[in-house]
Amino acid sequence: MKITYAKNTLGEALAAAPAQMAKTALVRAEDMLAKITDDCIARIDVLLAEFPRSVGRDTAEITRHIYEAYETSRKMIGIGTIAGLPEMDTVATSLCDVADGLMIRGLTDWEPLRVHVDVMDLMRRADLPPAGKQQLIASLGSVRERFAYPPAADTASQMASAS
Amino acid sequence: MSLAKVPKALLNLQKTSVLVADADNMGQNIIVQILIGFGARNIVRCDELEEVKRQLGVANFELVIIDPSSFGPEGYDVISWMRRSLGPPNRHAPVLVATGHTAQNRIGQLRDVGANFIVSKPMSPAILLDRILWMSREKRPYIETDNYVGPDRRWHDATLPDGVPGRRQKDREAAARIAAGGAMSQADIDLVMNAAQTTVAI
Repeated sequence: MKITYAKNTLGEALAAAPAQMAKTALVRAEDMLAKITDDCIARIDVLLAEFPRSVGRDTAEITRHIYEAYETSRKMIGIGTIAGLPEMDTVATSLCDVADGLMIRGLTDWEPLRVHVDVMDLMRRADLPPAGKQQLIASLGSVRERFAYPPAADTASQMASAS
Repeated sequence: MSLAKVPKALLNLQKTSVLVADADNMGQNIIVQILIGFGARNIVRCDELEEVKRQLGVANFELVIIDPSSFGPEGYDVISWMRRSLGPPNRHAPVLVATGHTAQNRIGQLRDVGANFIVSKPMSPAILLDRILWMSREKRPYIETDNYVGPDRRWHDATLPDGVPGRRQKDREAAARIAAGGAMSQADIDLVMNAAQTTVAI
């Protein structure tokens, strides 16, 4: 085993820069994010449109749709919060968990993903009150619990502590 | 306590070269907007793995932020490649993995690629700032073995960032004793003092 004590070049670069308070940096970052809110909303709508609303019974087709839905949702995670739709991130994460669980088990069941897509569609409705959004998210809990692949204890704790 | 919440904490990325690698344009945009807010002027954006490798080969970066899952299975290999194939300073550049979702069969791989930190999206500016500050103070050595190249994954006495629970038995025992209002052992006091020193000395 080789051990190297490397220079922390990030620390050096920060030390070389003019002083800026962290709280000032945070305010500026929030301001910069506010500039792309509309772009994020538009991106959410584009991704949302990519989900199929009708899926046949062909298992190969369902398998492909599950994979594509996973990819589409994965891209969505993180954008919802900036778009002012943080619940969309929650549902997208849940969809990824479920799709991943289906793929690991080799299941070809579109139904648990269909309910996620339906919830996402409802989330985009401007007239849906916050309490309604939370109810919808809660309703997905049992679906996620049933279909998401339960992480092994050691990997779950590793990821929890690393993120 | 979060480093970002320390009143005297400073952060300016004006002199920091950052590589942002994300195959999804909007994912890139979000991180770049935050970095610009933090003062960054030299940001290189990559949406293809070959470009990531090319950039790492021709320019020095003080910070690499990557979403490996966005590049498919090969995305996870680029950090290992960086740690094994490049020379310093990029070989030891801090790598922050910002991942949307990690498939179960990739979790082990992600743990072993040699990243300095893994952050789940959605990522707020406060989280990113906190992790950058934390990495800027990091003193972990780099370990090279047949199976792993990257920062030492044994955290020794280093304090974890805000919101990251300690995995060691002594972390959990100390937390439980303190929460129960029980008497603190010298080891508990050392843990708390170490945390305090790490968070105020910016």
